[in-house]
Amino acid sequence: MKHLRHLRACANDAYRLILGFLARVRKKIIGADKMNDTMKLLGFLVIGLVIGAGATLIVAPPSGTQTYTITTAGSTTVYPLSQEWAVQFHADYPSITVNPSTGGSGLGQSQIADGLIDIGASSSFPKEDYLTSNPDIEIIPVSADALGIVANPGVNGSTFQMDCDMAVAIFQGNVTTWEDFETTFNVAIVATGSINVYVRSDASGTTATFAKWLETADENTNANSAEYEWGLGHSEVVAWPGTHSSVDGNPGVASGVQGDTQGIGYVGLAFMEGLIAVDLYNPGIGNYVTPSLENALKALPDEITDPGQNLMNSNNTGAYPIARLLYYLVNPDNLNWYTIVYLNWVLVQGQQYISTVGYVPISGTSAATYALSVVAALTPSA
Amino acid sequence: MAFMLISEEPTMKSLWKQKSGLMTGLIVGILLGAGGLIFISPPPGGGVQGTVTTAGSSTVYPLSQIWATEFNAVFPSLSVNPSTGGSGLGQSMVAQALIDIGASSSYPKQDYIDTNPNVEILPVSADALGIVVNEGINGSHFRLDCDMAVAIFQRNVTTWADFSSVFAVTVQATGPIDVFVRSDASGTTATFAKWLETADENTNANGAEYQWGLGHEEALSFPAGVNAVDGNPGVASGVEGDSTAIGYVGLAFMGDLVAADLYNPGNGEWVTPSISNAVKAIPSNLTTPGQNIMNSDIEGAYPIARLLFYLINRNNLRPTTIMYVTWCLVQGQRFISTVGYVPINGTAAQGYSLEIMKSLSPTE
Repeated sequence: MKHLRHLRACANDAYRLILGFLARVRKKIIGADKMNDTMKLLGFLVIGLVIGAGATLIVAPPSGTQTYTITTAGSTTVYPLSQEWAVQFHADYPSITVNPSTGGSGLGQSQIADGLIDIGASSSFPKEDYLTSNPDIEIIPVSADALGIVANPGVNGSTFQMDCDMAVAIFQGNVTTWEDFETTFNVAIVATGSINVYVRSDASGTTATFAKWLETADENTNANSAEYEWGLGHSEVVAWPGTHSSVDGNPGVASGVQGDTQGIGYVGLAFMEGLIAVDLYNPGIGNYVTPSLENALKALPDEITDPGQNLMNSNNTGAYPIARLLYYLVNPDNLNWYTIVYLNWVLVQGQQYISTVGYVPISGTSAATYALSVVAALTPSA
Repeated sequence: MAFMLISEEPTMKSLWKQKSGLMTGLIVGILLGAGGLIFISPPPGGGVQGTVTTAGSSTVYPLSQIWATEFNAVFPSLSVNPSTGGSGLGQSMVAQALIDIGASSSYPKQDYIDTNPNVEILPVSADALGIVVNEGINGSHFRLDCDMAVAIFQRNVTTWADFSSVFAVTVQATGPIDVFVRSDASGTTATFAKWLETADENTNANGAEYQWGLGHEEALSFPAGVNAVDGNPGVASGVEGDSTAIGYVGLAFMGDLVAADLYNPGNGEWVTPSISNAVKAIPSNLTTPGQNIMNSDIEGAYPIARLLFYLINRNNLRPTTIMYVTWCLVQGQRFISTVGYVPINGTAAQGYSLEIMKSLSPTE
């Protein structure tokens, strides 16, 4: 409408211009010879050129300036991943901007259902009542998340094994010295003195995932019957015992542990380098498993029919006990074509950037196959 | 002076004449101005506008055409412009960066791969076909091995009675074998002929050995006496309307016709033509997409299958090309069976291509 009004105004201006020009031309014609007819024609041609070019600019804005914005909101765990993806995706497609925000998985779920955003981010599979009231929402695994417990080589050299009860006892502050740890669990530890625990001060999906695993301590039977139960919840910010060292980000925890011969902490799988990665006991298979991308991915079944399946303490051979999927939610009733472009990119090209934020790429896994099958059926709603 | 007077007081008619001349100038100017601006406009920026060009295999062409249509429907600011020319042309043009995507129905030869390490070869679809017969021949059950198929399509045997005695099998029909083949250049024909060339891998139970001698071009010189018709639908309707007829069609065109189970010497099984059996020929761990998947030794694998490829040049990669090829591998898979080919989504072939696509970024 605006363009049309503008166009009409331009046409009126042009008409006035032409009338004025005609009047002047007629005046000039008096006393002029026939050569002026050619000049007149040329003059009108020039005016026409200007009007034509101007009108084209109005009705068809130059294609290069058309831009699109994709909004995402939700999980703070997924947020750093969306940020990294936003940067890399924009580098590939400069006219499409991804604008991620946080607010928590619950907000992501409700805003996408209400059609307020393009993508909802969730670090957990939505609950049954959400699925029932929002049958159209598509839930797409986009990444996995796993983490490791890391210790300084001073604690026990290059080998260290823990089960979930031991981890709870340490991170909840039930045992506070390595001697205590030894006697409580009847294991041999090189270090003596205080257990220096490094945890996250910032809100972190890594913390939430770790705490979710610590809550599974009831599934674990400690060999020395030292049973502990986690009581600090699984929020992204945990109220840690005051004796812990609360530091910022995965790198903060990693460097804290690195510089402290009695240090222990937890970091995303991508941040374990140079530290002793603790093998964790998976009660689902009855084995200790080394933390690695490969072992984390073993938690995925050969074929995914239910993307909400719990992956922690998986009973798959060789599966690492701490793993979960992260999700993007889209609303087929409010789906732009450029959101589909972004989703394709996330599941293909985007996978190469996942480990830079400490998560686990799912490319080549059953989770990706499932996700691709969901995305394959999407068409723009407009 | 007289001229001046006339000019100052022109008749209505001459004034209109003069004005209409000026108006013509104005209109021509407007058109030129608008056209010129479009012409001098900077090339579309931002990576979500423009045209992706493909050329090459005539087998892949109908697939590229349907993809072009469906892709443009989803992304109206983008278009795909497919053309043909044969797999060899597609390979050379993409290597020279003259097109965005080269289409090839065969995996390029080793010297091409060595000379063009910057060209990525991506399976985008599979291709399989079935031999169909009228139910007048043998009711709803019919089986053929490769020697039998060669004997029929090369016209070594021309009646069903002959066929029965040569191969020591029971066939209800006795009359002439009415063979329906393609008159148009067709990837289906080429793929079928490639399989017929494998008759030497097959040992017929009755010792009736035949060898295919007609090559594997997309347009074959079939022996006199065959019915050459246009397209898969032409063959299907030909077979449907003729009680002693046999022909070959892409898997999506078998409809209500009797689909012959084919003998796969690779796994020693008779296999029913179906998309799921064709897909079984793709190994679960695809290390080289150039691997031959005809007569696959995998359990349950249908013997006639091959992969179709898109080739892209790492040194000439536009954002739109990446967007399009990714779309082909994800959303595009839904449209493959409409042109008679076999989707590869969920297979190792798709995984192989996506793994390559993962590492690609635009060169612009």
